[in-house]
Amino acid sequence: MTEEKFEQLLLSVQKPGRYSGGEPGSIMKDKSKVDVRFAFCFPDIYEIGMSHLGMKILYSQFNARDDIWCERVFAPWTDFETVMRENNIPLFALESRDPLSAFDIIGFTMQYEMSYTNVLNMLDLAGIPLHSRDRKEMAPLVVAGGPCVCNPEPIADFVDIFFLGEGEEVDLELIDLYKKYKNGGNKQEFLREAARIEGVYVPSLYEVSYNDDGTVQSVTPKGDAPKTVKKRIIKDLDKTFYPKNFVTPYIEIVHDRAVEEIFRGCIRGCRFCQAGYIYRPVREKSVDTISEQAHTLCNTTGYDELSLASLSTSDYREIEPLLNKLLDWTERERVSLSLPSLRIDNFSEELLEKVSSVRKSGLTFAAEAGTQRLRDVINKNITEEEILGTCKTAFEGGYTAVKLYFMLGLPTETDEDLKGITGLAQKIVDEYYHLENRPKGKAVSVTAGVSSFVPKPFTPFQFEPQITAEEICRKQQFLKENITTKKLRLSFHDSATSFLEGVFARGDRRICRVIERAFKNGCRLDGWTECFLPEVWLDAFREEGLDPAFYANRKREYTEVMPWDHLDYGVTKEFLIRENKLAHKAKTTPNCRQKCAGCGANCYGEGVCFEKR
Amino acid sequence: MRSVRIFFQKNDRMKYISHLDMNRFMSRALRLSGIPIWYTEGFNPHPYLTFLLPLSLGFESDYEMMDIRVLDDNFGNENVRAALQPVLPEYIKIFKVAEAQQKPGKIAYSSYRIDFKDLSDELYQKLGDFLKQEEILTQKVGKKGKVKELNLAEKITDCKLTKNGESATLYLTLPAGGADNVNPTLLLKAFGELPFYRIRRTAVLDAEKNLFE
Ligand code: SF4
Repeated sequence: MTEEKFEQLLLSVQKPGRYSGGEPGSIMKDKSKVDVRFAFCFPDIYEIGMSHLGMKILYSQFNARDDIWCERVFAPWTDFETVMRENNIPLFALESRDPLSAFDIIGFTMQYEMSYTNVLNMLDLAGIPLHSRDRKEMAPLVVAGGPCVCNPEPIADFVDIFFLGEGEEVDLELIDLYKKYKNGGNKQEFLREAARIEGVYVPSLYEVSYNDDGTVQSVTPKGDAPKTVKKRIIKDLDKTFYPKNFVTPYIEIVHDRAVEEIFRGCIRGCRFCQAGYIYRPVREKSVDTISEQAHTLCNTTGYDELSLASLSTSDYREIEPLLNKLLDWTERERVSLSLPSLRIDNFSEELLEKVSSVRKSGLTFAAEAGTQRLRDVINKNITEEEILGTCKTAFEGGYTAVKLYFMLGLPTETDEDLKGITGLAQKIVDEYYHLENRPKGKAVSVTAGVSSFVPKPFTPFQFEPQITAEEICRKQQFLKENITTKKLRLSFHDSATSFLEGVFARGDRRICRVIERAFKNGCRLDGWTECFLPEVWLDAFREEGLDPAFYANRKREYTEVMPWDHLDYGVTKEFLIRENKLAHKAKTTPNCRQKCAGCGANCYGEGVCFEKR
Repeated sequence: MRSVRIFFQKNDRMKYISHLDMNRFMSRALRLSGIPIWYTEGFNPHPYLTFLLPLSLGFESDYEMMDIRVLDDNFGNENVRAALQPVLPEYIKIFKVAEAQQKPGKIAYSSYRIDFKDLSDELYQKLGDFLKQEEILTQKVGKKGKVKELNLAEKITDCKLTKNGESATLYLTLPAGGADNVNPTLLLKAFGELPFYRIRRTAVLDAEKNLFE
């Protein structure tokens, strides 16, 4: 294809800036001088992928090595996909514009289940065989990491190697091994040797057998592949690589700012939250490292906004000293500081004032459930008094907007619990109007985002049935009918999407067939409402003779072999069973800093498990 | 504090970057440059900058202008250029930094150069005849979504079409800025099917057709 033709085609689509590359901070190398070309693929569009921190870290880290050139690849939006297919343009990397087939390793990061068809579409757009077994040569090798691969079985047929856990070390170990085999090595031998690296899971080396009732009977390693594969973690976050620069996009993306990670893991143990378990144990970066790295990033990128990244940010032990240290230079250099997941209850007013995320977006509470009983079931420790108390202070300080997050379809949930959702909103509104010194002449507004609960692997709720799509709709309707105040606005997640997400989350290897068929029948970009085709998905299940309800809506016995039981994320199944039982008794579990719950993640010998309590 | 006008070229890959995106990107570049610039006041202060005449997505340009305000009077125009150019991508070339001579409202015309690769003799002839017409009617969507009839022939000045082997070049000047802005693609669309071309703004002019400065 000539440069002119390419240019003409690019200009015929909605946002050519998604595909043009050349952004400040993007890295160009001489391809004849590197040993390994790595295509880092984010299976969603540019604006989403470019906002993702993990990709930024690995992109910089790989490129810091002279022998590797890592480039970026994103899924095209539908308009450009049409153009590509009509003109036979293979999927290319943004830096070199070389097709994916020219790369040694194609790596996907799996952040959410609804991006599975995008992986197939991207391979297909590059003319690369979808099935691992049909790719006999060393190149291209298809690898994947990210949170979804804690149950990688639904995409196991398509991927040669999965990285479990944090990628910084294991990715490079694998690349080093790849270099040894690259010229004329045997792929099967390579895979067998790779499987010996801790954190590397080679699905083709495991045989899955099923019981008559459709559940998994066993997962058996072939040859000398390990019986269980253990996830990797970075032990010392102060010593691990962190980017000194980001690729700064020209076009508007979802999160366009400097991001500094402050810790990994979460002490809380909310029972629905997968991230709260698979990233254990909590490991913190020091105040000095954070401030220094963040400062460098702002100076090299020119960003005027800095965001601190972690789960439950205010659990950082030295959050006040940290914010003070950051504000020292951010104020002077006109960088605004934002903290995405903040519990405002434990902050001084003065500090709150200075943190712009609070200033801008107002008050948010992830209450998750409408009654204290149900919040105890899910181990979400936030009380109504705390919410109302914080609202009161905030109203007095001039705020008028409150945002709440809830889930519906939680285990043991009744209509009473749902009434608690609208009830809490009403109480917040009442709180406002009972206040003598409320902001004058302004109305209060409460918005509640209500998502649908999806049981996830490696959580205490991995055994629970997900409620059906019909039941989700009924509960949504019930909530709407129970609104008692005009000041409350409710928004919901699409029930069909939640259902499918539930199937993928706990799916086994047979789901690969469904995903492939759905893709061939036109499914892609399933996370985008305008592209999602629920009917086509249901047809795909029928055609493959699989019942999605078996995966989503079925209760699992504690003794059942889960499709991911041969993967070890630190937390033990015994612990998850224990927690599940406590949930059904509405008994809470203290957080890691109050008391160790013995989850098993102390096997890594690091982090919160060894802090002085 | 003084007003400074930065003149630059927008080349190559930058043509895919819209006017709005340029704004965000330049704001970052200005922060990086370390130029002592004036920030807007209010809730979310950001570097003050304004582009004088938006350029359509897909166009390259020899004549783009951006105004900023420099706080330190001792920070000269050469300093501005020396600080800003290194933090810009290679596709943006500053060619002049100067005091603003004219107010943005004085912009009246923009000149373009349209390069055709492989324009057949027949099409060349046809395009030439097309441009010589007294009436080239097209429709233009106005500010409020109202569709207006427009005679492009009245709007075009300094029109010249040349051919050199396979390639041809069309030069023309059209009203720009304010309400009377005419985009050259209107003309090309009115003509119909054309082989690949590139559009480049070559100059911005005032009402007297002098270079706007
Ligand atoms: S072992 Fe104890 S302290 Fe460590 S992560 Fe598990 S529960 Fe928390």
